[in-house]
Amino acid sequence: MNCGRFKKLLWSYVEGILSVAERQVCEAHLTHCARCRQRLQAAQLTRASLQALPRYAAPERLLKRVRAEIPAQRGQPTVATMQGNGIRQPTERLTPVILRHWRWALAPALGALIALLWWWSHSPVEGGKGYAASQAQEYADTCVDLHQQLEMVEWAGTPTASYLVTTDHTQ
Amino acid sequence: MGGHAYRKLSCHDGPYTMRWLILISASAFLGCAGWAQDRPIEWLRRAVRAEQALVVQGERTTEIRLGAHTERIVERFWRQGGRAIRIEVIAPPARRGEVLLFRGEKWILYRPETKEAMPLSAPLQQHEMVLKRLLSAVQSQAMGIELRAAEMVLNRPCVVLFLQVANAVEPPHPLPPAPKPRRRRPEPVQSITLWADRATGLVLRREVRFRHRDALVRMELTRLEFPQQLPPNLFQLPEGVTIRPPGEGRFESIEEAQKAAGFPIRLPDYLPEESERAGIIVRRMRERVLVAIRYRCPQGNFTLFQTRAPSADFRLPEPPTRRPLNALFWQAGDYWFGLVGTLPKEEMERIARSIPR
Repeated sequence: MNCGRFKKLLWSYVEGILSVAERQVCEAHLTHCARCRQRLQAAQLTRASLQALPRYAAPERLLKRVRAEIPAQRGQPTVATMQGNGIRQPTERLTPVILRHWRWALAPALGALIALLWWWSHSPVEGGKGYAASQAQEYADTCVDLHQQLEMVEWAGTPTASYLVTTDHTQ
Repeated sequence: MGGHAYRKLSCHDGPYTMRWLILISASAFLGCAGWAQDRPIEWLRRAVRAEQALVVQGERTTEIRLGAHTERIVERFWRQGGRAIRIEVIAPPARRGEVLLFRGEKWILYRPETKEAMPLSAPLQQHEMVLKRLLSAVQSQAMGIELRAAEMVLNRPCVVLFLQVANAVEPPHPLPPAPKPRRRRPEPVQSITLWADRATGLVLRREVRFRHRDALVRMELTRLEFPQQLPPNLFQLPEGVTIRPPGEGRFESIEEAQKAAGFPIRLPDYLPEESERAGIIVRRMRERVLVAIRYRCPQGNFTLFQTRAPSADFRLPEPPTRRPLNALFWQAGDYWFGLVGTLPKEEMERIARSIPR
């Protein structure tokens, strides 16, 4: 496991949807990588902030309308059937709903904004300082892994293991 | 009198006594020979001979476990004693189909898909080498060996040999000024278990446990056949294969490694006493090349890493800590260096300072 791979799995780790094996690999990496521990803390903080946002109950009228529309959308009704059922056409309906329930849309928008800000502040930009530091960290992790692997394959006794480790067969 | 006694015993008066003596001597000899044959070290010698002499083919799986991560290598092999070997990689999937050929003490990597072959610069580790190393460790009493209860592997009865690193704890010394005891070479291995086929001596399963972290290497044959002979073309490259120099892998000389790396390799002016170089690895990492120089040292093995740094910002935030490993990373000019090993930190710093800037 290196930092690049951990970053790919980070959000799944935070959400708790990784397999047991993947989670163990991540945890093993976290024990020796301070930078990824920081990443994890930041991600957990973001998630906690999102969860702490106020939740608004949808008005009863909106719920009724949504429930009424679900079967219609499944059957892809024509304009005629919609009018026949007494449902207004989408163009007439959407604008006032969004305007009236703007607070309902606020939570995901705010969440997306926080996630975007977090990603922007943490993701290394190619050629930038953060990128170089993350590359150096990856090299350092590889050095430590490679030293241990080389020590091990000297005793493994299989030519293939010895060959594969020296040619970067996997991470 | 003595001559008389001899004559009396051998020819005339005691022919039965002589026969008994011969019988007892023969039994004692056979008994000793049998006991010697069953000594664990004799099984180890037998395992070495089996690797050198038997014609075998089959399949084996090797698992390399480091912490929570396990790498699984599956391969098919054909071996004409220790003279010719062919290995076809089945797993990991990314390397499936690659072929390793050994003939005339040279290893060749052959990629059938691209019809390319690369002679490998340094010899690859083989079972025979590890077994010889173990034999020498047992003979020098650096490792203890014992026989354990027999087991079956691949439906074949096996003797189980358990080897363990001798206790490295030095006995307490009397008051100073007792000379400091010479430290034993700290091998990373803790114990090795071998399952050797009782009929042939061939090792069918091996388990190596390491001192560092939760590390383990386990090899097991999953199919085994003893053909009368193997077709010679198995160990030859087919026609129309392009041969090119290796761009990465293990090298023995600095010059060869330098050619593959494409930049001058820097070496330290200072090395701890009795250190010896044990190979140079050139490995591609994305768009860059990482060079690793392995050193064995009585105080602790270590590896010196170097690469061309992409920019002034390519510095390490903090060295990873994995006890008992020490790690040191630094930048000098447009080079980036790393030093990882079980060597004491002071020695590592001394090596680092001795690398020309």
